[in-house]
Amino acid sequence: MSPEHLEFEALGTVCQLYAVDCDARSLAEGAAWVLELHRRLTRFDPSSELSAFNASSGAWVRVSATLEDLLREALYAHDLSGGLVHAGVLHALLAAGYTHTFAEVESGRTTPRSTIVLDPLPALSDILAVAPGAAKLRPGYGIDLGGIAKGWLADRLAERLGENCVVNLGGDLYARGIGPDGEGWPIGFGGTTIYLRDQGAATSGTNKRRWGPDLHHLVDPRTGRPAKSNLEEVSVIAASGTDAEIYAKTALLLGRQSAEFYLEQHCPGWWLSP
Amino acid sequence: MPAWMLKLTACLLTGLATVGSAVYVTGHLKSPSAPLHPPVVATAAGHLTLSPSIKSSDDQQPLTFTSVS
Repeated sequence: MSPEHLEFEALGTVCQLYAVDCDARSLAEGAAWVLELHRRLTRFDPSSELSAFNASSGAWVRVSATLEDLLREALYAHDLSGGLVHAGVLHALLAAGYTHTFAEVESGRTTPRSTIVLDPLPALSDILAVAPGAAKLRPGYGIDLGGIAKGWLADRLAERLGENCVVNLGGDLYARGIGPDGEGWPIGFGGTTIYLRDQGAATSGTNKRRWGPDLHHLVDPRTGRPAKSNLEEVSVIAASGTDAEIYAKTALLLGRQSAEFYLEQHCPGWWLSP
Repeated sequence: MPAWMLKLTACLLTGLATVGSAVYVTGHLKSPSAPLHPPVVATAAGHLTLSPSIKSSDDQQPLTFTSVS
């Protein structure tokens, strides 16, 4: 059975939707939902809900249910990763030079500059508090959801698209159901094809979104600077796209020796490079 | 049956079970097919580890793939 398919650009990357027993209109609505959430949650647009929250300077402010869910997800990711997946890295990313989207960097409209030497970040729970319908951020810090949003969105969109679908948002994906032929969804993973059923997969790496030697988008909260790892790329399989994204980033930051031990405890499969 | 014969039979059976178990265990220190550790496939680019619960194929083209974005 051939699944319905839609490819579109959002979240600064290419997204793909595949679904069995789902019409083209439902896929288009799913893509529109991703684009709408991207518009509300991007840190690059000063008028977005996330930018308004980042500018709230220590006051309790009302947040939408979606932003509240994602902020809670950020706290969950921080706990699950032992503090390594840290959404409160915005000031560190800006200091490292990640001030514009990569589309702007690649078009030559801006040149990233690294300026500041930073300290380790405090625990996320020390700078972010979330209550029903409201949240508070310590002054001087900002939230960047780029490290957790794609997996989270993939999980939620798969729920919307039905019982048998794959949502792949820039390489972070969730495969729901038995796939087009009943064996699971065939997914490229570490140079081979694996079949996923009700599982997520994600890849984290330092070999893209780079703008200089040792300058890339993955900040290590232990140093406040772009991570220095002996791994360039980690792909993992997990129970959800959200968890896969968290485990992949954690493993990359841990480095090869600890990553293998860590992943053995959490994931049924992984790819480490080099 | 006299009591001494029952005791002797029990002792012999216990001894046989002990010796038999010891011989079997020393001859089967590790089953190569036991999925105690997932297989690791090394390639030029990296290391792939998949538990037996993950079905894989080198012949099937993937529909989509996970990647860094």
